[in-house]
Amino acid sequence: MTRPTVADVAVTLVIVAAGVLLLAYPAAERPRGEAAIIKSVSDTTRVISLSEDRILVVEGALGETTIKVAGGQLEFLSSPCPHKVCLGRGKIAAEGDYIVCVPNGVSARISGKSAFDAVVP
Amino acid sequence: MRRYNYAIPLVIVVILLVFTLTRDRGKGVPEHYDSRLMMDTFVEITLWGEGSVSGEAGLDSAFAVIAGIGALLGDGLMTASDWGALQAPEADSIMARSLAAWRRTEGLFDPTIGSVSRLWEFYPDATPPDPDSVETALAWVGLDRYLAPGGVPGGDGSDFVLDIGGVAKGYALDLAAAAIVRLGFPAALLNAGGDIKIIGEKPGGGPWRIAVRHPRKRDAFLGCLELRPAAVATSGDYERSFTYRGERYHHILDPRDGMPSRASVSVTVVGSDAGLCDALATGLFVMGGGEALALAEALPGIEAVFVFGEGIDVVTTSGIAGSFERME
Repeated sequence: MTRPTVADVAVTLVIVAAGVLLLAYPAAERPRGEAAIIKSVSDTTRVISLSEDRILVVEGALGETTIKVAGGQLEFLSSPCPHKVCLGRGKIAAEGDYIVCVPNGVSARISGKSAFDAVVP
Repeated sequence: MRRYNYAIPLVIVVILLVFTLTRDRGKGVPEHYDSRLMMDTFVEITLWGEGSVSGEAGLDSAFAVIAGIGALLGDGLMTASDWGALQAPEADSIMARSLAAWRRTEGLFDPTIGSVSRLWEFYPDATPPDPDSVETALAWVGLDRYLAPGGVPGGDGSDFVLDIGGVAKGYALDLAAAAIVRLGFPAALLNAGGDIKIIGEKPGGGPWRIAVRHPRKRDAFLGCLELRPAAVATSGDYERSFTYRGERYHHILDPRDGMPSRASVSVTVVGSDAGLCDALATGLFVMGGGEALALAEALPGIEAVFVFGEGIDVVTTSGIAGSFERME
């Protein structure tokens, strides 16, 4: 076997460095989830796929919360809560992201394991 | 003719093998997760490994502790008279943390801001309170006056209002974490709307990786903290806010004028006590700038990541600089 040339070493280092970076550092863009867990105070828990567009009605403490899934994103469309904070959260799609309606006791969390153990919202 | 050099592919294969093996190390450890709405917050708890009870029972115990603090303190706004009537050691512990943060932040975290806090509501169509009512309420803000001899008001219907919701939430996590440890679970991660408590070593080894959301780009991360067991709390101007006549109003109020503080964009505090971290994050946010950075550097056992200005300038304390990876 011949001794590696300077070019061999350089190419090796570049490939190894690129591999380490790709494996160790996740992208800044938050990874999109494939499913969502919908919970309500009425003790129902549903797991739904985000790949299928749909409208979901969930019974909460005050009434019905309407949840829309479209294009891999989830949003609260309507809620009987007084201030509509949950509607103001807009659309979520990233793993670990969630929308909560405290007054109506309904939550939706995008499931999946990202490269992180927790996200500071 | 030159022979093929096997060293290059060999090195690559070995490195990939090491990564693959170390990535799978934690996969056999039992993991138990649940989320519940409590203390007006989305609370998530994950337990790893085996304890003296089942994972489900461990989660129930931890959530029960948090629910107990929630039941004791309601929405976290409480008159000083009602607070004084509380006969619970938990109330003393929460006040001890509030006092510590108040002293350390030179009053910029002030638990007596409740009279102002209750004037503000943060939802999409909210409007700021009348300036005169804020001015009137400010007369009741100032823990120094509450602590002074004869400073506890009452009798005339007026009263201090404590806002200890944030500290109580962190403190509830501390208590729940202690319960989990007592039950023998080796590792756990508790997350109550951004107040985080980490117990034990991460299954599979390596540091716990906590991502910090970008304050202006919802679907991006600002960076990642690599931590050993710790508590983490963030105060950010993007968390609860509304826009009125083109100006954004958020929930971190300056006890000096009763208005949303413009001193920082976000402050993430890392320490060991989640209740104290929550209060310090608020105080350091209101302080802002070099003064806040210098204070965080001087506080023992406390590290912080600051975001200042719309240019999103990120500054960390020196003790955590090597553990924070900027991602954007």
